[in-house]
Amino acid sequence: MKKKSGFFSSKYFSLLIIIVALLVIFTVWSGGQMIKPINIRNILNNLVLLSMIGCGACFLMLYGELDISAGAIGSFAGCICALLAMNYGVPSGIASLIAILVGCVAGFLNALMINVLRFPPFIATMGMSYILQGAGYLIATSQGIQIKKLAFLNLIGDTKFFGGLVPVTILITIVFLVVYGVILSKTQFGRSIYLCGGNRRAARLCGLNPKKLSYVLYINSAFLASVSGIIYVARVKTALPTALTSFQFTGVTAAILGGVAFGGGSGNMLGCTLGMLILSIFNNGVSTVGFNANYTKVFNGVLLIVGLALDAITARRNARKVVSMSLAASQSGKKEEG
Amino acid sequence: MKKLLKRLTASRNFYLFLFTILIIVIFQLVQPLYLSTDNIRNILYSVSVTGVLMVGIANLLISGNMDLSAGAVGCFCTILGCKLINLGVPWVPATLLTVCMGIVCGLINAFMTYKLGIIPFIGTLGIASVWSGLGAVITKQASVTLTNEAFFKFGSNKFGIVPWAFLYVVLLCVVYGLIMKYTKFGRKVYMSGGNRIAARLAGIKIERIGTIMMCNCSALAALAGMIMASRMHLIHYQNLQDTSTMGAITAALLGGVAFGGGAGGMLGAFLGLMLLNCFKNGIDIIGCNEYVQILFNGVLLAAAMAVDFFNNLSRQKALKAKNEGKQTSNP
Repeated sequence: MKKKSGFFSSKYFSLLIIIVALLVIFTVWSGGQMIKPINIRNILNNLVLLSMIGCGACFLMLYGELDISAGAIGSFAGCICALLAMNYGVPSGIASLIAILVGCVAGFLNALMINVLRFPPFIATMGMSYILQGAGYLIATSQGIQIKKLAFLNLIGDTKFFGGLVPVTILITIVFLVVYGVILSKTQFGRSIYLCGGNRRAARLCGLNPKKLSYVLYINSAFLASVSGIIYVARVKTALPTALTSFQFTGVTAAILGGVAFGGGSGNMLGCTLGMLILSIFNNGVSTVGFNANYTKVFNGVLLIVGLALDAITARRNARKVVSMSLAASQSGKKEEG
Repeated sequence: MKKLLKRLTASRNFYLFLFTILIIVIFQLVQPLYLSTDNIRNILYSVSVTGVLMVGIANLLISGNMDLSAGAVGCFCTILGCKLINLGVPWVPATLLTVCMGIVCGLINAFMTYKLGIIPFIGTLGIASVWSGLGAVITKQASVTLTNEAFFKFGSNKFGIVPWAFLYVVLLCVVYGLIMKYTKFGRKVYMSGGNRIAARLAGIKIERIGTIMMCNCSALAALAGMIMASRMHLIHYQNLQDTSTMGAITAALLGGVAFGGGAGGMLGAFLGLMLLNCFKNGIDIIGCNEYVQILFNGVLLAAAMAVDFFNNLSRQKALKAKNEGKQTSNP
């Protein structure tokens, strides 16, 4: 028997089909609004922010934990950057660097709470997200900080290629995604994340240090979130304390849709990227067709639950497979003995 | 007398009580208006809504589960309930119907957790965004105003400075405290939260207990929403969202309810609730703006988790000491 070609039977193929189907459905439904250049740019811009946060979320979920504070960290970093650049006259490049550093410190604190005080990751990052949101309001108030005439931020926010269709940020994002994908699948570090996520005790017995890894991953997630916060500020020209809070769960949802197992240990960057594409096309389509933001909220909740349910079902099926395999192995072993 | 003092100083609730008093004294010194009748009434009112929510969540936590959708469920059910009242349904059946809707929402949570196998933490979050989104869609983002005078009494009647709503909380705490402590069912709840595997081996139907507690939590959330609506004379889709849920969880944890389940009691949870609300009202009345309050929500949550962590440590230490004592006495 000839084996079916790998790609067409894989999960990625079905995800691609979903993406194409969504595009077609929404294009027809909105009467062509969906694929106008402006709207495509909207989708890409949204994808940039989502994919930074989603990438961090994907790494953490492979490790078996999650970070709810990513959106808040990103918004806070944006506020810090705008505050330094506008009110204290720091050059915007340096202000961005400082803001990213501050974000990383927040990520470190997350890891500290989780590893030293053993808070459940969920609660620790939730608390962190409240704290940073409050702090962001104190810095920027609910009006936000407007930014003008900042060399570095304008360079990031306004440079576009191909007749103004592709913003430079999308290129940055692609580089990030490729680099992270390679790190995850080709390096020892990447494999160690899978091992820790799949079976932490086994990983420890193999001589890995899951705690150290957890610090790295939380800081990484915060780093990516801060970068996306700064990209947001650069594009929208306003630093808001709630700029990215709607991305709190979208990162997690995207990763789950793309096949990253909730408990950790399986999934990869390609799937996660496709998941993010699905989410941003879906969200954009829903609003293009004319539903308001609240419907988007409802649909996102439903998507999250569907993704989780599929994930749980796959996990159960895999567990059954492992059991039946080990049963078969033990039986054949007995036969050989006999 | 000495014995009583000894027992008091040994209990954690006593220190919680002292700490609450300390906070009240500090705020009173900073802002003399803190203990005025109006403000005391404010505190008691704010306790009443989070309190009803907290009773449900604390008991759910004890059974080893989690529900982050409680606030959203409460808001959504209350929106429907208020629409019913505006349609001319008398308030008593309308409130009962709202509570029933809460139970249905709880059943959905239980279905997700036990039939679909979704981790309640993140599953209930998804559900929360569904309910709050639906609430906004139904009300078209406007608040539902009430005109039923009889219904207002449900939340805003008072004896002197004590509102009825506060008495509901006290009553609920007492009833649930008794049920959890002295009935077979209550002990089962503790056991299924404390050690799931042992509970299952002992023949306790964990799924059934989890389902009951989830329904109970959502029903109380719906009741909390109705109390809130009857006091404010309206309900808005942004009321009672995740901040109230997290507030209720924070109160329960401050009061010594174990995050992982299996330990804690209603008295402690009630004291935690008082502590939290006295503190929140205090930072409000000394003039901090709402942003500082958001910040403090996070700090308090972290503090509550730290309390839980140290409680856990001391519990383990006590268990270890007990076991060692047994080993030395046996031979």
